[in-house]
Amino acid sequence: MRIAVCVKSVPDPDYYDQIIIDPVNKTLKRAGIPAVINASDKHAIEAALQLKEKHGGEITVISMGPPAVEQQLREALAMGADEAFLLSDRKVGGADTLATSYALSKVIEKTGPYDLILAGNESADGATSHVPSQIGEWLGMGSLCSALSVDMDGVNFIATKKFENGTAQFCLSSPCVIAVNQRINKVRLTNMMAILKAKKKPLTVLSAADLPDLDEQYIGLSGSPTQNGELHMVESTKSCTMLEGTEEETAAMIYDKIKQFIRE
Amino acid sequence: MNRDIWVFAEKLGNSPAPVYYELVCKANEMKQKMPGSKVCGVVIGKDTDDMVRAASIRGVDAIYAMDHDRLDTLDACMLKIAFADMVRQYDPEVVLVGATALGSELAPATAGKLKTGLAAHCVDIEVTEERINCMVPAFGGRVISEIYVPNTRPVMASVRPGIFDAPAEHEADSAAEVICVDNSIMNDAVSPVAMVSFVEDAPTNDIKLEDAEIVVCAGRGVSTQEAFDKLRALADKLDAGIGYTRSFADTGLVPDESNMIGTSGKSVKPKVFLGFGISGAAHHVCGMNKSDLVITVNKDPKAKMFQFSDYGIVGDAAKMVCALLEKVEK
Repeated sequence: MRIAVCVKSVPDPDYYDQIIIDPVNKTLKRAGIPAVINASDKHAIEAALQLKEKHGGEITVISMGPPAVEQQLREALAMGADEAFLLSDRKVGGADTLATSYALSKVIEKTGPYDLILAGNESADGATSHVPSQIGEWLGMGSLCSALSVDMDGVNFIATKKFENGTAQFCLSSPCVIAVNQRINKVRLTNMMAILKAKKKPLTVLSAADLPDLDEQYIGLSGSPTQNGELHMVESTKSCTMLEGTEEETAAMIYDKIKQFIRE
Repeated sequence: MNRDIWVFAEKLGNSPAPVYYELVCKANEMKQKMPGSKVCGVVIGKDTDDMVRAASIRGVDAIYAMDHDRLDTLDACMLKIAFADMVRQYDPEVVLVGATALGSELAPATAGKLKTGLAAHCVDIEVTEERINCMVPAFGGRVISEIYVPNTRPVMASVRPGIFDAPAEHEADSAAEVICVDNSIMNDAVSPVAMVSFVEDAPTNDIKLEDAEIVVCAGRGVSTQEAFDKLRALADKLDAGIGYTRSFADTGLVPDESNMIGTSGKSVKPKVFLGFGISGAAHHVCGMNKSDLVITVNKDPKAKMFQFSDYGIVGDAAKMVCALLEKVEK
């Protein structure tokens, strides 16, 4: 079985509270924030590793971004993936989710065929959850988002998903795209040996020219149907009054405020 | 070219998901600035008569319904075929979809099929002279980015439940024109995905977080089972809904993330929000900053959460829960 896992390099979410908008040129100031593998994509890698352990196979990680993303792909290889591809080209830069899913689907076509394509359900930075089902659409494959379990059953994949009022089980014919919910598993830790071994695993950087029949009208910023306008900071409109006293006193004050407010 | 605004009416149980009413309300606000537009409900399924009736409320000018045996599913790959075809046949300007478990998947799948732009999890939508601006949170809600769709139709936007207001009562209104959309595309439609089973959740007596007037919320400062039990007891006494932050969910004291409040969880806007031991990370604040009265307890006087609060207490969250519980029990 060949499994592809799409991973994204994102600015570390622990630093998001430090992000500010430059008042002059209205762009994000995020210099100095380290890049990490998107958390939910790590769960996708873990899901791939578990499937490989159970059914055998090979895991390829795929990403798109600047050359520095090689570092996150090395980390994915250290987690246990066998091979990595990075699409790095200015032509595909500035892509929205539709243009990103198109470029990734081309990398999947180029490096495949695969039996299963896994991804994290959402990225920490954009958090749209759009890309997996749009990859499925471009490739004409079935897709499922927010899977809580994934297993292989002969030639099909079985996955479950939680809805507002219940849980459904789906059967997806292979090849298909499945985006995993973070609750699907616990991500294993990598050790020093694995990190050293990862350095010798194949990592190929692709450019747009390497991709078969790439239709330029669908790539990059100009191929993106959504465009970005202005950025705004989320500011609070509240001003906080601090209550002081013993626990009993402040508890009484809170309770009064609640009662007062609910009565109004 | 019409300027119609479509709102997807997802079937939840036997009626539209609550987010439908919220989006109809927003669509009516947009309609004021879009002369000649209509607000239209979109029903997709099998035996849709009841849903069409339930979705025909005041503020809805028309209902577009596609009915077919193959649409009796939660498989977005099948549903997107119908949704995209309906859009192609009637060409609306805007399509709004509630970001439920199904909607979060159906919206991008349909946008992908139509090769049009979709703005994810909008917290507001503004109609200006030039364009429709979807306000989309990024970086865990730290910033809001304006997203617009300049060259393709329709503009698609998803919105999480609880973001927009809806009137408490929905007035049924049979005046809405019902358009039974040609379903012939479904006759040969195949999906590589099959829904094998659906197990409905057991009903609970818990107050639904999104409906509660008071929400008590646990952050990392509530880190023990004992403290959380007390918090539950407090919520019970106050008839409050109980929620938590991602850091609290990570402690493993709750079995799942179903009542997590924040960008990747639920959005709440209760009358009173009581936060215990919450640091105030952007991704959490984004899910609660429309609450009326916010009271925060945190032992760190510099906690960001105080900036988003009306009243603050610097103190131990677990101890304050106990003190407040005692007070309420009296």
